[in-house]
Amino acid sequence: MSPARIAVVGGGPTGLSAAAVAAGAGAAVTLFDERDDLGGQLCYRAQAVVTEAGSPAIRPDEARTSLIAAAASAGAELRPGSLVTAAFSSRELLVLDAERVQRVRADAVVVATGSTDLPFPFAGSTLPGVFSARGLQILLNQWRVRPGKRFAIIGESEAADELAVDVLLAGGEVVWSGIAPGPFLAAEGEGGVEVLRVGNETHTVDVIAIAVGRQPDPALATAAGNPLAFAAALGGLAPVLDGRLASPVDRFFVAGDAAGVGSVATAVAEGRLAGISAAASLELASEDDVLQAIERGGEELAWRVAQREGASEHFTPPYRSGVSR
Amino acid sequence: MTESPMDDNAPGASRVLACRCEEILFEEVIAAVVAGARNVDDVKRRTRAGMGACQGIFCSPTIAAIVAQVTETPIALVAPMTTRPPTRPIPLEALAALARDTETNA
Repeated sequence: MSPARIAVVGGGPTGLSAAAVAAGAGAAVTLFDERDDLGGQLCYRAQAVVTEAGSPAIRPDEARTSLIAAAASAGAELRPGSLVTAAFSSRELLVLDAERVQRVRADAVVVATGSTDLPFPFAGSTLPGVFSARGLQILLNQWRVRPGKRFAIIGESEAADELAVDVLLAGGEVVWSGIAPGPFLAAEGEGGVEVLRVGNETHTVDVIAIAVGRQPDPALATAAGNPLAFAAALGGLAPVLDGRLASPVDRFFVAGDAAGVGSVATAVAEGRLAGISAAASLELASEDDVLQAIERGGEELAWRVAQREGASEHFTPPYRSGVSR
Repeated sequence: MTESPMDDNAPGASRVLACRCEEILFEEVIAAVVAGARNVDDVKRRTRAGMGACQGIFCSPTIAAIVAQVTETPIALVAPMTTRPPTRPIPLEALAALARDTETNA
């Protein structure tokens, strides 16, 4: 009898960690990522990251290499360049790659699809030269293109600070950074950004980055019926999950940024937990293994569970207007 | 986003896009809420906001914030946009190939 199949969607730190653990438990694991390079955010962050709480920070490319190696050596099949465009509650995935579209059946699914940048609309925010934080980071660090010389960064967060350093490392200048209400901001220029007005101030810039935060992107799980709840501390709408990252949708698990925006260390810890939870749901791992992974994740994981459960409202599709609970 | 360009006196108020894929202005979203839209799906159906290439990934929080502010509802109580597959636009050719393969295997 062939081993139980676990599909991991997303090849960033979360997905790679889940794949390594699930494959190590004896499942037949296939990991899919829409990008041609595995590693997710580790492909384009330039500054040191912490992959496990209490450990020293390491270079993102080193973290990426070791996570990919761990998943591969555990026996997971790694499929970059493969977009999972649907995940039905029957645990059938629709996978699109350069050659074909394919139905893939799995016995359990781990959704590790990460997060996206939050919008922050203001007058002129669609002019050429206005970037989302992640878009600019990919351009600077992965493609080594500096789209201008004078940068404004909108947002006050660790991500905004990191981006400011990325700009400096690329030889750019941060002319203004901070946050102001939308009505006080305006980008202007002929054919592209030339100035950013902040209240009565005018700053001459050629690039504006919007770095106000990120939100979870668990779309595959949501489309399969996973309820959502609004948790501001996790970036907004996050999937409702139990303490072992199991979805109410049978044998679906969501982990990492897709379950709530957090750090790389959180992504790795939740990836491991989702991997072992998925394996345990197929009787390839014990309850003790799961409890160990929960404990290893520590207070951070428990805090995230509390954030999701503490939300005032759970939205279960089909959504109705007004309060539905 | 909380003090949004919905204030008529704010600079540039009428020029701000809530949904950039479909080019839907803030004022169109506000009008939809005033006309009865109470969640993100309602706004989507009335204005096309969220129906573009990004399928609402970028504009949903903005739309929800506008609904919350105009209806004076906490944003945590504004129902999200319904998500259905496919999660990204895919070529019709891909779906046709899938149908053909299914027929062949049947």
